[in-house]
Amino acid sequence: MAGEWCVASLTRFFLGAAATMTDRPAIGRWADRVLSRKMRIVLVFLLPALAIYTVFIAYPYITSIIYSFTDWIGVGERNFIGFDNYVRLFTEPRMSGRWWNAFKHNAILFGVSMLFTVGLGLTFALLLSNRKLKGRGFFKVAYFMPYILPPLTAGFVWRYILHPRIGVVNEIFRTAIPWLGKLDTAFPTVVIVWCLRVTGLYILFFLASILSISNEYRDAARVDGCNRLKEIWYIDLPLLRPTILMITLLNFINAFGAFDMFYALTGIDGAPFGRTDVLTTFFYRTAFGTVNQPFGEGLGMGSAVACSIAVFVIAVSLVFLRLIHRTPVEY
Amino acid sequence: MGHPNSLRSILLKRIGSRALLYVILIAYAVLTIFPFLMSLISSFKSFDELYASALRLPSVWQWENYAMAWEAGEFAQYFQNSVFVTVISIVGLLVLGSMAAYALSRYEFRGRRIIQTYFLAGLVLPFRLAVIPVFILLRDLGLLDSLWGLILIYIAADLPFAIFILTNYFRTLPIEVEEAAVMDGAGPFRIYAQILVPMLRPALATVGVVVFIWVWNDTFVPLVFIQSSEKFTLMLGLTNFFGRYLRQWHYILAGSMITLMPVVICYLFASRQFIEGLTTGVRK
Repeated sequence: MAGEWCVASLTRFFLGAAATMTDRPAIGRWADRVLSRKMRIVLVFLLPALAIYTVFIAYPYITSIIYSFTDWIGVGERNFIGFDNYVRLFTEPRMSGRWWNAFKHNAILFGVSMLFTVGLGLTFALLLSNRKLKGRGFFKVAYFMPYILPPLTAGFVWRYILHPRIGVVNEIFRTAIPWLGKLDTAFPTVVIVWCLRVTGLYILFFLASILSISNEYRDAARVDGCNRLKEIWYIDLPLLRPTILMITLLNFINAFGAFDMFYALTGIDGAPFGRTDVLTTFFYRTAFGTVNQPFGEGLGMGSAVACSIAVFVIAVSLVFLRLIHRTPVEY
Repeated sequence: MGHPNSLRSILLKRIGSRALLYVILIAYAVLTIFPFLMSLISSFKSFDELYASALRLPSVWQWENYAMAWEAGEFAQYFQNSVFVTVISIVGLLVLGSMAAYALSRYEFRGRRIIQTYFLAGLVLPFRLAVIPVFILLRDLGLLDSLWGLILIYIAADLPFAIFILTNYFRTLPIEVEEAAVMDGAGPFRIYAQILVPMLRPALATVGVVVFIWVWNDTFVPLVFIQSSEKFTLMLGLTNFFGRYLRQWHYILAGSMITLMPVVICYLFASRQFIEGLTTGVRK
């Protein structure tokens, strides 16, 4: 009996027939599945990607959680210390102060850039959606430009533009303000520079959705006596709800992941005096250290910081994804 | 024609609001490009001119600034490293991504859904937060401070995006061509290489363009994993250069312009692909 199934499986294996395996006993089906030609093809195509992704993304994610419960510094002994890192992170004033300080900056960045993006993004998308507008292509290319340029380079470019001695901004206003060095101007300046970079992306996002709204709705609204403003209020905005949610999520991920630009503008320490510190720079310092503190706080503590940020970002992202899937497009 | 005045005023109003629209649109375009244009011009100035005034054009265009950054600043080496990492990452990602997408969208097998979700989860996870174990892993593999280490990380981190875009695109392709090919006796590898890859070209272009931007522009990964200066990518090199030539803004700006030139040139040639690709891509 077993031999028969074996032969059948082998035949199947070589012929690659997998469709007719319904009436086989369990062992036969198992053999079919494990040995089927189809499965082997699938594995050949899938394994390289699966392996590299598992080794370099999935496995590190899990180990990150494990490390966060140890006092490991990267070499030598690794002791499990339970929740100690987390307790220290949120109770020890030195650590928790920095965590909340950085978190506050990310949150403000997110909030302000939301006003910027929904305000400016939507306004410019509506202006660009004018059907008789000439040169829309040019404007799209121009507005999108800052978003594709390396944020690090953009940071240095802005450092030059805002330079207290040789910067254009100070020359135009005849001032000598160290925009990025003063306690009260540093953070607002960084936020504005950051917003200018991302707004282009959101303009194009909105524009694509606005242009995809069927003209039937607009014509119907016109017949009912709507002017352009009413049309925006009653037609565009309700239909843009999913886009607005998408952009909120995108902006959330961008704002809480911001690194390069902050690094270029004010350095890894979030100068001056942590006024522009964000979670990613804080995480980098904790894990890998700086010139003043070469080993940071150790890899265990670094992992705890990473996990605390990751949990927050993932949780909020999932809530947003839920909302996006639930939002029905009316009309 | 009975009321020429009102017609004229309507026309004027129309033209006026039209003009206002263009003024606003152009003003914002200027604002977005202005800093980069300023820096481009200033990168050709001498040190003295730079410190004299920001708004004047350079009297002599100093190409030496670029020569200085390229040779003494070792941007030639950084540039080569960046090109190497970016090209290999894109090629590797397109090959692995399209293969996986082919298996996931053209074969029905047990666990397909789970594997798909497993990959898609990577779209939500902020990759940077997992770098500590990756650091240990690369150290144990002897790939720390190596461009190949960077490439492996970039491929792994951007696979979810590639697979997401490519499986979605596969669903829009008709299956009849493949069925005909099977009838003609073509094996899965020939079908993949000779039929599907050419059909996938638009989606591959999208993925390629987005990954180009992500990899080329990235500072974080090389900052964590690269130590020796001959292996710096452009972004890391620029940071280092900035630290070395503090105050010498004519050099720093020349170096900055070198880092963004390739991006700008590619963007101007294929702006449509860039815009399309990056408005679908969500960076972790």
